Amino acid sequence: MDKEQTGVEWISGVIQSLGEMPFGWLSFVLLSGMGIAAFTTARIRAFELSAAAKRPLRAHPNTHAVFALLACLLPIVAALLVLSFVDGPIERRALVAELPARLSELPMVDLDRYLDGLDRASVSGPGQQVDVFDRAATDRLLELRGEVRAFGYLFALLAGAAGIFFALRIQTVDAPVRRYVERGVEIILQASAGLAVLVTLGILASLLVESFRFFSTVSPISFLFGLEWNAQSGRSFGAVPLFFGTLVVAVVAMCLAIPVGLFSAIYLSEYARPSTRRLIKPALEVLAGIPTVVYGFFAIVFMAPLVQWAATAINALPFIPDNFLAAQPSSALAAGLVLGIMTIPYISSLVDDVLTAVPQEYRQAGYALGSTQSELIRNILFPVALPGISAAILLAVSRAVGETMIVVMAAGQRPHITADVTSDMTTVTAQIVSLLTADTAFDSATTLSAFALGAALFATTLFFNQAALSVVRRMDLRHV
Amino acid sequence: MSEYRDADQETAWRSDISAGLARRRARENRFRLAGRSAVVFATLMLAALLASLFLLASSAFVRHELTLETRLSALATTDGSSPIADFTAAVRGDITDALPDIGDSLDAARDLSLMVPRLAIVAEAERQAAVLKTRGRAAPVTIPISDDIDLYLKGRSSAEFVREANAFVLTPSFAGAATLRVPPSGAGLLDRARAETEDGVLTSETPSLLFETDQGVWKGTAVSENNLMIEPLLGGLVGAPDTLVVSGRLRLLWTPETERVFSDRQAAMARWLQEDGLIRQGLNLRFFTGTDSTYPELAGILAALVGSLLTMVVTASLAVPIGIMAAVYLEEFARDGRLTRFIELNINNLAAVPSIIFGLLGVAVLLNLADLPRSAPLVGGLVLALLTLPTIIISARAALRTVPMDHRNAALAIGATRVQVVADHVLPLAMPGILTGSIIGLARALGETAPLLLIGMVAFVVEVPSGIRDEATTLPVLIFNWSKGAERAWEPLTAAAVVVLLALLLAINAFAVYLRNRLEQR
Amino acid sequence: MPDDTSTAPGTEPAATVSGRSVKISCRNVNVTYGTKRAIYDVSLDIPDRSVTALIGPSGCGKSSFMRCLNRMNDTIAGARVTGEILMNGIDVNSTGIDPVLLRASVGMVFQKPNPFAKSIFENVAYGPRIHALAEGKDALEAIVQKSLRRSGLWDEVKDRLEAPAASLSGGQQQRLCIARAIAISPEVILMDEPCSSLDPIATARIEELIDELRARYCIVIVTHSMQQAARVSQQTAFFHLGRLIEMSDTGRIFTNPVETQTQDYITGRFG
Repeated sequence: MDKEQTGVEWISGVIQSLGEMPFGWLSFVLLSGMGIAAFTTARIRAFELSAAAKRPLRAHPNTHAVFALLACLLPIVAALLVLSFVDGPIERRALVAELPARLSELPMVDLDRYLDGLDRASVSGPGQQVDVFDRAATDRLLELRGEVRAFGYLFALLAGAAGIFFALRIQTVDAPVRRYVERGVEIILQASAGLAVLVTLGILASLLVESFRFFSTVSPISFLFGLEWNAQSGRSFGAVPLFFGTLVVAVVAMCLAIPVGLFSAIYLSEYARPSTRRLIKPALEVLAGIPTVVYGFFAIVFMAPLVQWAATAINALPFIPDNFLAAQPSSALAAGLVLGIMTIPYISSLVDDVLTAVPQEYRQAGYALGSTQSELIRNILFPVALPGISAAILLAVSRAVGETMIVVMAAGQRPHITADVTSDMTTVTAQIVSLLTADTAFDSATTLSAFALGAALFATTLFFNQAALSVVRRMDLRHV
Repeated sequence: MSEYRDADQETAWRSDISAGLARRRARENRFRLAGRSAVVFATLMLAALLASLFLLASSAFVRHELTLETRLSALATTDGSSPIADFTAAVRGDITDALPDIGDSLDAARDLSLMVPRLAIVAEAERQAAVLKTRGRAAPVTIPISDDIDLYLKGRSSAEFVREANAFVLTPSFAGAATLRVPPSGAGLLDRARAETEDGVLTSETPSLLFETDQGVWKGTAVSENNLMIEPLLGGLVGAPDTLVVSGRLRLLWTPETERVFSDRQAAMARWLQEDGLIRQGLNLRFFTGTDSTYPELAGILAALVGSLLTMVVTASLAVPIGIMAAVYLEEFARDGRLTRFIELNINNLAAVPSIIFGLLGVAVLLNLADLPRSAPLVGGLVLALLTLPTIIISARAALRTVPMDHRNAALAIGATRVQVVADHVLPLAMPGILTGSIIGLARALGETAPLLLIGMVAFVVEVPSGIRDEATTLPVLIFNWSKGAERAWEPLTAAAVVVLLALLLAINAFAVYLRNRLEQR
Repeated sequence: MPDDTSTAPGTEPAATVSGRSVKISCRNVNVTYGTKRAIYDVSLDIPDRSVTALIGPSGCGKSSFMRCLNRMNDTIAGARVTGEILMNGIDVNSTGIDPVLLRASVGMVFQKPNPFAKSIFENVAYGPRIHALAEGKDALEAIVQKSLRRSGLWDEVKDRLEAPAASLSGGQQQRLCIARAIAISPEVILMDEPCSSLDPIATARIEELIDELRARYCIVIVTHSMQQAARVSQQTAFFHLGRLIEMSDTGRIFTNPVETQTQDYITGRFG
């Protein structure tokens, strides 16, 4: 009786401490322990087999060992992956069921936040919480986690053991183990490559599912063609002002970036001395490596005041009516200009590559006919490079449309349609950020509208990228 | 053939063509000029960006601090009551003692307490208590002064003109007020101030004139040709005698009091304490050792730096191995089939998907579906790993492609399997390129902001995160948060954080280049 | 010595060569690429309305020398040309000479056919167009037709002038390049191994064409093939290691060369 008691206590103690241990370490211990076991048993067994048969195995003993290792670890990894995804929800659901009504009936967001708090406390050090009830809840959470993990790890352990068993069954003198190992490695590599497809699917699924939920309350027509956006209040979801703002900012950016990027590339690839080129090209690459949040800050402290000052100066001109320009402290123009500066290097480096790739023969033929350099560039090189240049511009447009930080920081938050670029505007990306950083319940139409905007953005950029790819492909064909 | 010169011989050649040549040359020169201007413009913008950031940031790395010999007995002896309150009172008392009589008006008390924010004193008290506990003796007390005063002392809030002279004639009138006759050397300053006033009356909407002696500080109320009506601001004359000649200093604060965030009295107190050596400029260590705060003078980047580090650890440990494996598969194993082309299409598309879309993915899948904690480096790192994966795959493939086919054929010819060929021959040769590409990809991820905003890393985080499930923020997100700060002091602080971020990125990229050179030599 | 037309390097050349007036006269031409010297002190005279072949083993500098004649070396970074090259009595390297004008007077055909990525018509019309040689569409079409006729391509392409130049065969492309060069009515045509990438039939066609063009133009041809030089040229200059070894009437050089090096080369002992 006593013994049984202590046995139960011991088990519950193990389960409790299982919950407190960090997931990564536990998994590491499990994986390395099982791995070593699989590797050594298979290797020893291989030598035994070879000794018994009095001839070498078809595959090297080490290959046998690696085979067992793979057969053991793959199921464990799969089991642990599943566990890591399901353990949180299971624990939480179980805990919520035990919580008093004052907590379990909280709105989803608040409940989530409360549970996040418990979750953190459970990892960083239980017992530090001030509230006695919270401390108890955290302990209970750890207990539940221990139980979930006990099951999960047991399952993973069994899966690994089954793997070892399977490997040992397969082991014979003539087994083509090497081919199995090759195949196994290839499958692992293939899975890594396939992750890209999975990510795309994940993006598509999350955008589409949430968008459908959004469109069940708001009609797609009023979203795509509505002229009023007031998502924060949850009333009007007409996205045209956002599309308009995005368009204005992108157009401003391209008006700056296309000519500057194009001419920089032409100058660097055709005119500049090699020493100049060596100096300027890295400088432009620096421009491309600066994080967008830095550009956003630059827009706030430099470009926005400059634009406002210039707009005010124009308003002050005698023949221009007062308040002709809005001259806002944050403006679509400022954001667009900085966005343009950011895109210059993308255009210039791509166009530079394309121009340098134009075969030297065209240049020779052009010069031999007495072209000036600019005639050569405009009449001969440019038509050949046109597909590449268009692709560069399409990619730059895609980037400008999808850029977030600069517009969030410098374009403003007001959704409206005006031709005055010195007034503040908001864009699709800026709205996504402001919708999802606000404190609203996740299921509300307000938050879901961010996903509808995301879907629109994804479709637009996908279109531009595909267009760029297809032009480039056409160019490749022509050169071959 | 860069410069053309006209010459007589030309007409001897092709008169049919030479007629139009001048026009063509002009066109050529215009075209070249356009190219040159574009390059100049782009480089100028880079220069403007870096210059404006560095100029702004330069003032944030030093700051003004109050150094006091405050009686720490308050901390050491009092146990039960509230040591922090006692310490605060002691600090305030010491400052008051160092200043001339500030009177007992409410305004004066408020001015004084705003100069040294309570939170700063509390933080210092905690530090002192810790030092006392571990070392058994007190460290000198240093407290950062309010950001507004700090900016003023750095000369960033208002233009200021100072004249020193020793022949001021002071004639007391009533209630401490006096008339000051200013020697010729100070007359210019008076004229300047007078030009900004109506009838010489100095108000809170005109520039301020302060007169400082070793007795106290007076404030100008009206100004005429070479006389200044003054009333005491700090201290004053005790038992005022008749007219006397004093040496002192006239200070003209150009920005009117209503347009700045500190009062004349605070300016006077700050200058007084600076004169006494109590306020000194020191290295702003708190910027590196502190965490986020609502007070710019207390804010630091440590928590964000650690957050960035943790996030990068998650990103690197996922994106680099998976990216390399995927690249190896596509370059070395994949047959040119429909599936392979589909995977390639996906990777190319993902590389151009706006980063904010990955944030949406994180919200929908990682936060809502998998119930991972919000604002945690775990989720941030996962999102950034997915974001950088295509970049790493693409650069790793390029590196693998540079390995000559001969190496593979040679290894295959002696009977190596494909896995062996890759592991023993291809990967070692491609490693320098792969690592460089991965590091550069990770540097990009380090500067990424938008997706992290969506998964809640905008949270105001005061504690340094200790694990990947803790609440955390990253350096770029901190920059974003600080850039929205209303006080002017946030601006240099944000710029300083930007400089730190850029320095980090530069270091990482330089390391990548070094690593490549190093490995390629071998 | 009217019979002895052979000129040893360094000696003063005559005002006429084999009874033809001198079109291009070169004195002490040196070419260096960076620190590498490609041509040493070459002096020779090229007669008008005849074909002059430049022969020699590869890397002997014959192409580099030819590129001096229309200043194509200007387009190579680090190339430096010294010495005097007089064309119609004017030094082509003097600063007053615009390479645009020089190149309009000196057409060039390259080793590999290099038509622009444009239609057949546009390829030929390009030169006249940039130099504004034709007023109106009809005049331009006339020039294109004339040039294509002279290059013997007209009958083959007259029905598909708008087709891309890349759709032509290699030999046709090369004749298109010749048509493109003569469309701006040059006085000199430089050909840098024009047949090296062509099959024997296309080569024969080009050689015929060169023979026809000789009546109107001063032609300089760089060639690897001694048979070709013997077939198409009237004068031949032999280059070796950047130096002009010997220049003479083609018949004489192939039957009775003065220098032993020339003898060795044409009998196939090296090269």
